[in-house]
Amino acid sequence: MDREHDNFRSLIAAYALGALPPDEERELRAHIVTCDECMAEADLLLDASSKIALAVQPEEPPPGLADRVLALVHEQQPAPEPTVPGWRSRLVPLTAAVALSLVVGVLGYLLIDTKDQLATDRQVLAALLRADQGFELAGEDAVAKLVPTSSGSALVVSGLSKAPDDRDYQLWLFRGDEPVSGGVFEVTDEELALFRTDMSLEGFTGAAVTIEPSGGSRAPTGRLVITSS
Amino acid sequence: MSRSPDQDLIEGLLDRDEEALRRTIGRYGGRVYAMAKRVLVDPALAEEVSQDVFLALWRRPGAFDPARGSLEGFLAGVARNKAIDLVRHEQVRRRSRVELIAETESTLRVVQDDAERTIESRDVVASLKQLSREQRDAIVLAYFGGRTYREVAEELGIPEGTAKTRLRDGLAKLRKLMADAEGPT
Repeated sequence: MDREHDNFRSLIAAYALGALPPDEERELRAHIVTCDECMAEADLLLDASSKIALAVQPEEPPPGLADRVLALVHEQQPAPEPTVPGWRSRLVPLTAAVALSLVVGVLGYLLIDTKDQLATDRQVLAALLRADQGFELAGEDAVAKLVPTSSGSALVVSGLSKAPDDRDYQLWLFRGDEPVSGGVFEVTDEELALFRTDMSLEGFTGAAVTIEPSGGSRAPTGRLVITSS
Repeated sequence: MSRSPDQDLIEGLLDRDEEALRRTIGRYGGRVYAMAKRVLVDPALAEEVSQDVFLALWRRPGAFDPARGSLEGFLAGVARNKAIDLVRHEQVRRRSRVELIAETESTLRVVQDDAERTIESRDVVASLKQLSREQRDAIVLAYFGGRTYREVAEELGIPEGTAKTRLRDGLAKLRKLMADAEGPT
């Protein structure tokens, strides 16, 4: 195995414990998205590290904690966003495809607020792990995986920076040489972005992302950012 | 998959039932608060983190994935991440190496037959006990102390490569021990 991979692999435990400096964490994540072996290890270790919190002995919480939380709940109207559709069905055993689409659904939801970064990563990893189909895309600085879901497909991208104000990223699916638009998407977090579309991957032979004028184009016109091999 | 004992809480939260939130806090408030206090020196901040954790759960109960663990573990993990966020980015006082290690060691000593603990949390404690002291100290500094592996190396006076190895071997062993304790599913 190559040295770069070995080096990344040696950092996965530190990553799972949230103990990597930000720049190293970014690099490792970009690697993980493309490396099944590291992804599998990260998934296992994230799972283990997430349980360490349970070692702490519970203690009496401050009196009135629930009252204060509820006061905050009432203060912060309007009412919270509705929950992810279909979530409820997650409480019963699911087929892998449905589970994946729900994980991705929850993930899209979570990415609105990525403060709980590790929790988010876990779900990204879970989603990717279960996907042995789809396309891997790569470019100069970014990598992505486009995976089928029960309602279409989902693109997870690492390393794309925010597009200029008058530009959007656009996903293309290829049937041979013929491109079909998979829709435009925004990137707000350089480290990780998720884009869901109802386009099925059925019958497509490749995928790419270009940067296009706001709102997207009928056919690719702009710079190619990432592409499947 | 057996029905989780927390399923009623989760369903209540998804239905926006405030009583379910109150019961969740009743059940896990002490767990969340203790976790935040383990990281933060200031108890007022630990309470603030606890409020934040439950507020976040209320806003997005869908973030909890019952297929991947218990609600208790999820909430404690969120508390840990939020508390670490504070010590990393808000220049809030974090616990010293000596304090962190001493507290963990004393937790590991006290815990036997604690009826208040769930089986899962007893498994975690039992597994942590079986790590070498060196592995455990490194993990404790990273996980409860918010130190990077480079800081772990510096504080323990060991090379960075050694710190990485201790974290890696320690966490891998922990994973295996916890999986064995859980038994075949």
